[in-house]
Amino acid sequence: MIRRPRSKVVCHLSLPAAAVALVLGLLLVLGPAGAPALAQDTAFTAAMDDPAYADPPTYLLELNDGELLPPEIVVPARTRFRMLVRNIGTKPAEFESNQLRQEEVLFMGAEAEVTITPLDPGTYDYFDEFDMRVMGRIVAREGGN
Amino acid sequence: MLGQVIFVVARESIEALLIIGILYAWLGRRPDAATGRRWILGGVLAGLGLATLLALTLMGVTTFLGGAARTWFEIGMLAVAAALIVQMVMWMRSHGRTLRRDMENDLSGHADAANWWGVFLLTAIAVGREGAETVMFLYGTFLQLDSLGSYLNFVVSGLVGFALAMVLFVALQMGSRFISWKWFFRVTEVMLLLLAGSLFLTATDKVLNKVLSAWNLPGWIYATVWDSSAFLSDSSGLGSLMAALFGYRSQPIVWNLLMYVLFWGVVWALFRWQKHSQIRRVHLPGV
Repeated sequence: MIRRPRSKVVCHLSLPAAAVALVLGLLLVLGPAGAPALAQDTAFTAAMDDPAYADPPTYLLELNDGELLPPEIVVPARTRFRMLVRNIGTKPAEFESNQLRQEEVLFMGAEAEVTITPLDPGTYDYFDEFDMRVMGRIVAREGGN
Repeated sequence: MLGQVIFVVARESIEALLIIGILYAWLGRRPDAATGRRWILGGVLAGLGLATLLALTLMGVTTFLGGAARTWFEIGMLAVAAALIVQMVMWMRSHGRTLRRDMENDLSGHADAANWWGVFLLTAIAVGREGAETVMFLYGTFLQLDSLGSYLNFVVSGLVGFALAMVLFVALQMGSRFISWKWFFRVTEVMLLLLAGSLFLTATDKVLNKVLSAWNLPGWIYATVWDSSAFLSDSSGLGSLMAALFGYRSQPIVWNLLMYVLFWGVVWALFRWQKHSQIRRVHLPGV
């Protein structure tokens, strides 16, 4: 019975192993996430005042042909919340954020409700993928509740 | 020219063209290349049909996929595409090295018939998934046009965007011809697996955000593992392309990492299993 040379086995292993090593390497190089210094007087954004959107708290975000209203939302860290995303523009929009793990395509006049899982303190970008001129951001910070 | 149209068309076509480009180049090496290309073409056409149908649901014209059903359909498409890519890579691995011998062996015929359906389905999903967004975007933009000049501008911009994405397709075909087959195979294999991992990550993101979102999972699941957004943000043009094609994340949480390790663990186990079963098949008759 002929056996394959051992080096072949190593070669086969190397592909997934390399990917895992890459991830771990990145982890080492970049270090753990540090909470960026945020101004303490940043006020939390007011959640929607609507009983239908009370639990969890919901923030309204309107997309208007690339414009983000509002461009910044400040939320309590480590707390689940919702966003009601509405396209009020004249063209289709795509609410997207890799950092918030969201993508939602919206035709004119369409709206979608998305749930954002608890966020560590930090800054998370969102944008309209069909019109990427403006970058919006969600700031999660301690001291909510 | 409408920069936005160019950008969206190029950006949304690139993922499908990467998959199709590699399949096309790989099939070109096989004696039955003509058959394979017909299956790819069929997949592209079916994908365009799927894209139109999905775009109609996105526009609210039809509600055959409402709310929860659409979520599961999206998760299903992503997961099936990831599984098919891994299966394709395994197919390439088992046939790539021993192409001629296998083709002369009638036994491989049956397995190939199943793989043609895989090629067809993978192409259809790749085109349909991203195509749906493109169709909706183009239709919405089209509705705003008002003059002959603007229609012309629109069509030219769309074609320029598609041509930009085609550069990748053409590069893959040239690569397969001018780079040694071994290297082309190795590089595209890694690209395909990274893309499958990225699709799997997106699928599991949707599971976390849309299916498991009603419950509060243990806090550590949501903990940010690292933040490289200052170095390469996945909200930047390059970063978001890296996110789509290779699964790059600048602020991943523990859930992402667990799912990524799960993906590569399954791929590793499958490759190991494939290798062992191949060795057995090759050597048993001689024992």
